[in-house]
Amino acid sequence: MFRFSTITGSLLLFLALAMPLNAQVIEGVVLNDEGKSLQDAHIVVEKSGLAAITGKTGTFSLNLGEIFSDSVTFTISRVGYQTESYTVYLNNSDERFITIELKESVYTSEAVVVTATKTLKDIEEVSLPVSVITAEEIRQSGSMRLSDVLSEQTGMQIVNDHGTGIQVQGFDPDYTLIMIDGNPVIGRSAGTLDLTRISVRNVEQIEVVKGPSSALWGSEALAGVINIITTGNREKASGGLTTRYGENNTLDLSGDLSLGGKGFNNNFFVNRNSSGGYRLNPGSVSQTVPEFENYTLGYRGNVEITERLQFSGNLRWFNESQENRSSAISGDGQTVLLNSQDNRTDFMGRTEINYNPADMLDINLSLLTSYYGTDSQLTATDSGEFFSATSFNQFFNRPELQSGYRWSGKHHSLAGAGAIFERLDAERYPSQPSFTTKFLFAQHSWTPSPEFEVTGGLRYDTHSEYSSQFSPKISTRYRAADWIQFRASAGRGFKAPEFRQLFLDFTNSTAGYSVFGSSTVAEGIEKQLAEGTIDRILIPLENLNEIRAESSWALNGGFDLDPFQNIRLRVNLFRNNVSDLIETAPVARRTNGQSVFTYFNVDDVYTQGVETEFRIQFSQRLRGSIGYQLLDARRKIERERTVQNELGEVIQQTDISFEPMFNRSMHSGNFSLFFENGSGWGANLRGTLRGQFGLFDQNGNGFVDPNEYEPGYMVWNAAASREVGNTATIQIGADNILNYINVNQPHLAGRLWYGQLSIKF
Amino acid sequence: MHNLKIQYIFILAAAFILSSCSDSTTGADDELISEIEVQTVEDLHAPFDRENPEASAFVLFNLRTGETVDNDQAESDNWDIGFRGTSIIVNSGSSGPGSAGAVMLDVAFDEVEIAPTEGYRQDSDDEAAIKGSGGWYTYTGEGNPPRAVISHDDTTIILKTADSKHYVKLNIMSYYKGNPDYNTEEFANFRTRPESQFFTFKYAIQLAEGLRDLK
Repeated sequence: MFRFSTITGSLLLFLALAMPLNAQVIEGVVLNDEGKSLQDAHIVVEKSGLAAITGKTGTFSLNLGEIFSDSVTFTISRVGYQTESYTVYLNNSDERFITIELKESVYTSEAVVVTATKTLKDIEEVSLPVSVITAEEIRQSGSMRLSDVLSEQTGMQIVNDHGTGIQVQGFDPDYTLIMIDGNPVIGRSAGTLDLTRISVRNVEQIEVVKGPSSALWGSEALAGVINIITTGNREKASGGLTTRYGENNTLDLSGDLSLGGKGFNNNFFVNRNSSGGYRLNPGSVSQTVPEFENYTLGYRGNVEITERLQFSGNLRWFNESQENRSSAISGDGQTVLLNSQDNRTDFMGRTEINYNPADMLDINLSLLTSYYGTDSQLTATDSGEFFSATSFNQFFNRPELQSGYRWSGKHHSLAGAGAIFERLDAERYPSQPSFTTKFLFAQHSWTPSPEFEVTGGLRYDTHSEYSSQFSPKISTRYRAADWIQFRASAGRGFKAPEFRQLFLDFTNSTAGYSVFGSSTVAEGIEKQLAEGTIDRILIPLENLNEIRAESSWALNGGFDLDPFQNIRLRVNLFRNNVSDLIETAPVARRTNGQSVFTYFNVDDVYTQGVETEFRIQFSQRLRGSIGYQLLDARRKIERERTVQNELGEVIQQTDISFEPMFNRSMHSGNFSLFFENGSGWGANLRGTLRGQFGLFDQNGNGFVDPNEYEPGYMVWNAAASREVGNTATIQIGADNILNYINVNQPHLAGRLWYGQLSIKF
Repeated sequence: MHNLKIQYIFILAAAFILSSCSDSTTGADDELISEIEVQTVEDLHAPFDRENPEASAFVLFNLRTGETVDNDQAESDNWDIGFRGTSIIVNSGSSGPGSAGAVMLDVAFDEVEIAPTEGYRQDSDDEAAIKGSGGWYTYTGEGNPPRAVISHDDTTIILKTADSKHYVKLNIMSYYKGNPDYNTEEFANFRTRPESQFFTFKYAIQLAEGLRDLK
C-alpha cells in the first residue's frame, strides 16, 4: 500500500527536477494588491497555446522554446481578480523574473473550499456542486448545533431516527459523510449520526458537497459530504465568549482562544451545552428530548519548522450525559418505572506532517485516531435497584499518506493510500470483531484554460469483511461567459455494511428467532445445527454470497447564473441509481417454528430532482435568498398479486414498480432575509418549508399510498442583534415563532425564545 | 336488527349476455339478465371475548337477504359468511354445511368486473378461506397508528353463496365503529379510538343465478 504512494511521490519529484532549463524561460510571481502571493493564477501566452499556473508561493515558470524572437504578450487571470496582460521584451535580460500584481474584482467569491478535491480551491473553480455556510451566517442565525444550521439549507431535511440526522438528495442520514476538518466523525446509531453532538460555535465554514464523493472520501460519501472547518490559522492573539440562554432551560456557553505568531498558531475551544429537555406527548413517561448536559473541548494548531515543513494537530473531545424515564414489564408482569442514564463520548485526534520538497509538490502524512462509546443504565425509580445496562465502544485508526503535484501549466495530480483499522467492543457483538480497510486513491485535474476544467478521480477500497469497492468520478466545469458557468459530474458512491449487518449474533430469548450478520451467519447456523434447533435450511450456506456494500451511480449537472452583480441563481439536477440496499430475509427455519435471519443485498432505489437557489443582495444592508428542491425518491417494489386474466380467471402476477418512499417530501424550500444597518443593528428572518411526506405504512405494503401522507409544515425563525461597543453583541431571537408542534418531529420543540451575548477580543 | 343499518342500492343492468359466455350452464336461447345489488353494511358488531372464546359465537350473515341470521340456523345454508373479532368464516368445509367459497383478489372493489369460475376455497381446520392478517387487513403493531387493524382498500373477496347459486364481490371497509379515518390523532390515541369489532363492508351480489358478472 505505502509502496505505491512512495513510488508515485518519487516519480512526481523526478519529473519536477527533469524540467528543461532552456534559455527562453520567463519566471515570475503573482501577487494581490496586499502583496500576498496568489496560487492558481493562469498565465496564457497569446497566439501560442502556451500556459502556466502559479504554485503555492505564487510563482510560475514559462518555457517559451524558440518561437518568440523579440517580445511576448501574455494574460494573467484568476477567479476573483481582474485579468491583466503583460508584455515582456526578450532582449531585455532584466525582465526574466517579473512581478505581476492583480487587483480584486468587484465581485468577490464566497470562499475557498477543500472538500471537493482535497485541495484548497476557490469555490468558483470547483467542478462539483459545493455550497458553503459561513461563520457570519451561523453567528447571525444564533445556531448552536450542526442540526440547527443544516435544517435551513436547501435540499437538506432534518429527520429523526435514533438521533437527529440529515437527509440529502432523498437519502437517509446513513449515506452522508460528516467530517470535522476532513476527519470522519464516527458513532452512528441505526445509521444516524446525531448532529446535535457537534457544536458550531468554533466554525469557520461548513462545506457541503452533494453527490457521491467516495472517489475521494470512501465509505458513507454516497449522498454527499459535509465538512465542518473549525477556526484555525489566526495569526494574532484573539478570542471570544458566547453565552446563550433560552426556554427549556437551554444554556450554551462557549469560549475560544487563538494564540498565533510567526510560524505557529494554537486554537482552543470549549463549549458546554445543556437543556432541561421537553415533552411533546403529554401522556408519555419519557421525555421526547431528555434532559442533557454536554461538553466539547477542541484544539487545533500547527507549527512551521521550515518554510517547507509543517506539523499540525487536531483534537476533539465530546461527552454528553442524558437522563430520562421509561417503563418496562418485569418478570412477574408488573410495570416498573425506570430511570435511564445515558452517556456518550467521542474523541478524535489527528497529527499531520506536511512537507514540500519542491515548490509544486506536497506530501502529507497523517494519523487519525477516533473513539466513540456509549453506555446506558436502567434502574428502578422506586427502589433504585439495577435493571439493565448496555455499552458500545468503537475504535477507529487511520494512517494516510497523500501527495499532490502541480505540473507546470495545466495539470494537477493527487494520489494517496492508507488503511483503516476498526474494532468493536459491545455486548451485542460477542465476538468483539476487528476489521481492516485498505485504500488507494488518485485524482487528476486538467485546466486547459481558466474557463474550462476536467477532474477525474478514483478510489479502491478493499475490506476484510465485504467485497472490494471501486469508486470512479469525473467532473467538469465550463464558464461560457462572465454571467454563466456550467458544471456536470458523474460518479459512484458506496456505504460499507453496518456493524450489525456484518457481525450481529442475536437470538431473541422470548420469541426465539435469531439474526446473524453476514460474517457471523455461517458459524451461527452451524452452532444451531449442532444444538439440533434447526428444522430446515432455506438457503444452503454455500449459496450465500459475500455481502456487497450499498452503492449508487449518480449524475449531477447544473449552472450558476449571474445576470447582475447582485443576483445569483444556482440550479443543480441530480439522479442517483442505488442498488444492493441491505435488508434481512430468513435463511433457515428453527424447530420452534421461528426463523433465522441474515442480511442480503436486495433493494433498489432511485432518487432524482432539481435543486435551485436564488440569492440577491438588495443593498449593502439587505440580502435575501430563496431555495427550493423538487424530489422524487422511489423504491423498487415487487408484489405478488392475485389478479384476474381477461376471462376473469385467477392468476398470480408479480408486479414490479417504483413507488414513493417514506419520509421524503417532494417539495421543500427555504427563505431568508438578513439585514444590517451598518451601525450595529442587525435582524433576520428565516423560514423552512417541508412539503407533505409519507410517515407511516398503515397497510404494510412498503411504500406511500395516497392516504398515507402527513401534511407539510413551515417553521419560521427570527433574531435581532445589536453591537455594543467594538467587542460585544447582544442578540434576541425566537426559533419556531409560529409554535409548530408535531409528536412525529421531535427535533422541533415548539417556540423557543432566547437571548445571546457574545464578546470578541 | 338492533344497530344494523342496511342501505339498499339496486342496480339493474340489462346486460346482453352472449351465448358463448353462458353455454355451459344454460341453453343457447336463454338470455340471463344481469341484476346486481350493491349494499353497504355499517357497524356490524361481531365481538370476540379473548378471555372466554367459547361464549363468543360468530355473527352469521346472509348475503342474499342482506340480513344477519340467528345462530340456531348455523347448520343450514341460510348464511354465507360469519364474523367474530378479526376472523371471517364462510359457510363450507370446517365452518358449515353449505358450499360457499371465497377467492381473495389484490384488486380494488370497483375494478372487479367478473367472478372467476374456479379457485374458490373452503374453510378448513388449518386455514380459513378468507385470510385475516395480511389478507383483508394489516396489523400495525408498534407502527402508527399503533396496534390497529387496518382494512385493505385494494383487496376484494369474491364469494360463492352457500347455495352455490350466486357470485358476490365484497370489501371490508373498516373494523372500527363509525368507519373512522385512520389518519387522525383521535384514532392514533387508544383512549379516543372508536371501538373495534364493528365491521363496515360493501358487497355487490349477482342476483341472476350462475351469472358471473359483477359490474
